[in-house]
Amino acid sequence: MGDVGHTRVNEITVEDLPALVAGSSLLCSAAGDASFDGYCEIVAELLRNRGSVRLVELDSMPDDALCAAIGVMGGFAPMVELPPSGDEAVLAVRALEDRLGRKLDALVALNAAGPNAVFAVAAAAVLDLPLVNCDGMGRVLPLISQTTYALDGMPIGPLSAVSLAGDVLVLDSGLHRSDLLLRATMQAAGGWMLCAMYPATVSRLRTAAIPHATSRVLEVGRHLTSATERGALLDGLARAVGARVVGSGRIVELGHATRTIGPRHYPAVPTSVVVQEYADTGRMIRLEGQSELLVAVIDGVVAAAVPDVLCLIDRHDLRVVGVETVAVGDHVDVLVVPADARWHSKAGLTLAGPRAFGFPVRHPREEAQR
Amino acid sequence: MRIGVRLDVSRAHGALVHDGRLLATASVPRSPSTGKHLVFLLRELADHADSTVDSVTWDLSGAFESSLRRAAGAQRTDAPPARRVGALRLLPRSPYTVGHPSPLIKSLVAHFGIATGGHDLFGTELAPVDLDAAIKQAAEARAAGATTLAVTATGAPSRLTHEDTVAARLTEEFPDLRLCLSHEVGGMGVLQREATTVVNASLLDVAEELVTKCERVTGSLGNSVSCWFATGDGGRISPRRMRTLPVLGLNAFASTALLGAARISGMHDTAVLLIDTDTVSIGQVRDGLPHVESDLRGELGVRLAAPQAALTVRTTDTAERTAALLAEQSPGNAGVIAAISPGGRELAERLATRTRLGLTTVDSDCDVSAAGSAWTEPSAWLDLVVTVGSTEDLHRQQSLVEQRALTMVAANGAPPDSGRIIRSVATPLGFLWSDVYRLHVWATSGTPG
Amino acid sequence: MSRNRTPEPLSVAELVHFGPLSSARAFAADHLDRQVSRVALVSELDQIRQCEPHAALVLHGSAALGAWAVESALRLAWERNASCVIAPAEIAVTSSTAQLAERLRVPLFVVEDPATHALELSAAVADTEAARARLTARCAVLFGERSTVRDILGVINSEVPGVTAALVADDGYVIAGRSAAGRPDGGHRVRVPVPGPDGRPWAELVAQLAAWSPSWVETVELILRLARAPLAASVGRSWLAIAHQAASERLLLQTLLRGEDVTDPARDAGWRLDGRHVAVVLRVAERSVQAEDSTTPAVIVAWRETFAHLPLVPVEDGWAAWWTDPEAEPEEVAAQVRDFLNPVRVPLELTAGVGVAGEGVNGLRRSVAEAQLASAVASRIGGGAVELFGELGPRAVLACLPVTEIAAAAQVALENLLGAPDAEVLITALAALLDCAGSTGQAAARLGVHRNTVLGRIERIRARGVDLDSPDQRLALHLACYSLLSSRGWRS
Repeated sequence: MGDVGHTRVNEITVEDLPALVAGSSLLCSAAGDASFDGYCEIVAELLRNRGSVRLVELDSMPDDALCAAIGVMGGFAPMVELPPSGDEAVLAVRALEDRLGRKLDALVALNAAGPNAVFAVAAAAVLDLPLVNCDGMGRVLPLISQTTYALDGMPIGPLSAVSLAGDVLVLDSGLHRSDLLLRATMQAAGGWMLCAMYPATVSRLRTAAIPHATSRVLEVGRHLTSATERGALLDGLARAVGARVVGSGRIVELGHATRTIGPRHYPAVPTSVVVQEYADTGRMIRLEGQSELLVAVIDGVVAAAVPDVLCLIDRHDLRVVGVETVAVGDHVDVLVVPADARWHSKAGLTLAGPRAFGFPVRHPREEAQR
Repeated sequence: MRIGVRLDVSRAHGALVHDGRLLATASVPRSPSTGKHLVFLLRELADHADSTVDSVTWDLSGAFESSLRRAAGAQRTDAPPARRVGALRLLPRSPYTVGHPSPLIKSLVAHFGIATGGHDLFGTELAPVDLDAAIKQAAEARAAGATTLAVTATGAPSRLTHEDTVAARLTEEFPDLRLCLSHEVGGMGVLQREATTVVNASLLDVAEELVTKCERVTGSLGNSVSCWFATGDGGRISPRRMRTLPVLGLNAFASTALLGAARISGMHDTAVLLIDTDTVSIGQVRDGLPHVESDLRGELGVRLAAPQAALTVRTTDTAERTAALLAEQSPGNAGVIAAISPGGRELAERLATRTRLGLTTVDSDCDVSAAGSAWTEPSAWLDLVVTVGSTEDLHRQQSLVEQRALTMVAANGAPPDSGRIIRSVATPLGFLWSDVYRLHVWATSGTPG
Repeated sequence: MSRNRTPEPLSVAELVHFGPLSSARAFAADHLDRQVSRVALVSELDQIRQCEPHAALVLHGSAALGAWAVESALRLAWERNASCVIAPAEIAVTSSTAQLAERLRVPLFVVEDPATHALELSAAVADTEAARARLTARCAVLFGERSTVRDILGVINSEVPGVTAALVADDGYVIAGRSAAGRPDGGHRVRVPVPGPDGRPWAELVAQLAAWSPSWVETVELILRLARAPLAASVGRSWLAIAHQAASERLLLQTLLRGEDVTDPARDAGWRLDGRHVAVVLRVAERSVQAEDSTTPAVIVAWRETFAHLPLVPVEDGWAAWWTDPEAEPEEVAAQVRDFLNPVRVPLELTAGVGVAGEGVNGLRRSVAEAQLASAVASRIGGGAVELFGELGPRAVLACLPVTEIAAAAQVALENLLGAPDAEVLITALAALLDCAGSTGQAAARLGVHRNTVLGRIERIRARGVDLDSPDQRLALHLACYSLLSSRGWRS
């Protein structure tokens, strides 16, 4: 997917911020375009004060340049309730540099999708480091171990994490225990932590990272912020990231009804969204997920599945609708954005395919190969 | 028989309704000092009533908006300007920027201050509250001319102790300082709550004056006629509640317009196109009530925790395409179309003649918002975050919040046992590794339709 | 049931109606015709791909993780031509899943414990004969417990899956059951004749089968045969009871009509004697088969179906009933009776006469007598006719004339006239002229011909030796014409 018509970008300025925020929402079905205004205002202020962030390509960097991935793990809600103060990345990177005994030369994004696309840019701005135009997910995945970095054998640690109260943690462990330990800390930390992890040289990243991640988000964002018409937007997204419309319709059901009578038809646990298509066929698109949308089942057939990205676009507002804000009665287009090719490998699907999330089904690509 | 009145900058628009029917409309210029014209308006409408008028519901959103815009220097009107207030935020650490991203909020705040404190969403204290710093910031706000202080602690939706502690201490220190606390308006997001609290605080004086006048004018129809105020969620509240929470009435216009347009057309579930001079706003009416959400930017361009109609706003040149998209979605019933200003009439009438689109039109002479105001019912909207231990625990907590909402509906003046839950949604908050839910509970009085 | 053939598999419907699925919540339940050849316990969706057609798929484990898994299973079931899908109750089946089942026409059942159900289903499917024997036995037991025709048919219709049964009389009249079964619109049918209480063929049990297989037809036929004896017995029981009651009521009514006081026994019989009455007398149309005593139960049963609260009592030449109501009007009563006489409801060609309203017992007596006269007029007109005494007036008297005898006499007395080639035309013209008191103009209008034509016919009548001007002859002539025209025998 990285080769789908990306344009070269050399720097990110405060003017690019709206496109960055909008574009990041497409690859993050949980939050959609949730209101991260507070944080965006801080990033805007940072970019205004520091000028721009240099966006560099992997192949333009020296082999031994040291990088670390910046990303937040945790929930969006705590981030909305209490926006980051802006200096978390400084605390995290300084702690990691202390542990490594070496300064970082550049930053990479853990994932240039959802709020993390913005966090990486903000970290580069506040630390005055270049941001490498690549990431390790190409979308939002719930575990920090679900990365192409890990897929390629890069160690996750040592890593550092900063809580919203300013606590700093340095962790030296393997891939899965790091995930486990940070998860256990999450509640005490207040719901999210900004991490600096996967320290690696550029030569290591060349095979492990998904290229053009940030520029791609910017391009998607430009389509989302400039489109005034549905057809043009869908065409633009198809060209930019190969997005395909799975179906269009009205949301008729959310989650599992926990009460069958009375007003609480609405979800207690909205892990599924059912879209009824407009066409006479009356097809039902059932979207299943855990935070993110993971599987699309149309009339009982798995039509799309993680690691490909599933998302909903409001047909009128032309904005991405998040699972946390979607409502019965909304009219949406269901889009699937294909994941990077390395996610479609056997190992990639084992790490982040539908079965990794407890859906005992084959990814449509595996199905096609049978 | 009910009357609804919408006050905008220069005129007052009234409507008399009974059951599902619009019986009469009228409009008078506003007289800023006395309520003479308003009394005349009510009398004229009451003359059309063949039985007694039970209630008058006022939509003050236009007046409030003018006051806020005037305070922001964005509009030259003779509306009384909203007051500049102080804002105090309780956070564990100082952010990179102090202040608020919204220009409107910036213009309404005479002094922004930060004191240490706050909780996380799970209710854990992030930092002990620094009362001395709070007093210092309050003193600075007073020095900057603020008589009201908006206090917003992070984590207040799950634990309000820091806001209460600060309020108690500040009241002791500055007995004449009015306080608005963010948990009173509710909602998630320290900035959204702060914006909502600041807007509320700055409207208190304007609201006091208008509510008093509306009560007096309503009283001219007789003592048995009750006085109400339309709210952004398409409901209504008592004068007492409007005096303390005017922000709830801020975005009433769109909600009442959606409600009015759908009711006049006899539709229960429909899209509604509100046509203004330059814009087309598309909203939804579901189960006879406007579709509302919190955290929307709305007319004033600032995200507010208070609910308001969820609208898609488009320029008028896209109106036909929009209508065609609606027709594709619901063949046969694309929606109801209503002009909400004289400038929108021509387009509304033109679109209505395209039978292919299947639009239902509302007579362009009637003020859909005034009629919608008359049709509002007492309502309550709760937006909370809860941490639960099990599914049963979630149900228990959800039921408790539902009960609270029904109690509020009754407290807002609904007849006993007439309350019903319209929406009760528990959304699990993503990527938290623990069971934290955001509860939206919306209750109203009366029967559907 | 023949033992030398492997029985065909059970259908899903059979499993629902007498099998382990009887307590399950069902979706797409209109598509139960498919047979079930085996039961597959599916713990992973992929297993369905290996299933043979006509399997009942029982989902559990990871194949039952949520609504999406059930929908996937429905889809795979459709691809594999499975017979039905059975899912655990912890999955909330919402309308979208139900709609998919409906669209794919794959029945979906939701049960508490799929594993137990799989075992029971397997047992039922493995031993089809035993399952069918259980059904037959169950029906036999239920037949024994039911005493009316309707209830016995009800057993067949509710217990035997996919079968619609009706008891149909020789002439196609549906005596009981679902009329759809009696409709001659194809499909698979099983017919079994049913004897009446007298042993003669009386009706037929007709069953319409949704699904067909030789052994299933055998099962259904066996069940129908089992129903015959209880049906005959119930008919016998009820008809005897009706015949007995009718006979005693007949005596009671005779006594009442004679003018004797029968207040107490009438009250015991549930008759209403006070108030305003309008009487009706039913009579078999004259030209149809004459009524026998044996037809009484059938008429009474049909009457009770329509007018459950009104007694119908045999009288001479028919059956009498009366409406008691301060508002009762003969026209209204006539309209109700006319509806009843619709041949679909009554297995006989009946006619009716309605009397004028009368007060108290005396009024009732008079009204019954009037209705009897009117019914005689109606019976000459033919099936379905209803005559009101109030509209007939003195003409009703004519009904008492022994028209057959008079006609026979007239054939002798007017031999010359009747010998004319156009005798019928002449008799009709003569009758019209006498009816119109000799006015040729009125007679012409009545006959729809020109006055000159009437004058011509009068000439021909005179030429045959009939004296139209003699007052002595006129009454006799008038009666003769009326009788000839009223009796069928004369016209060829």
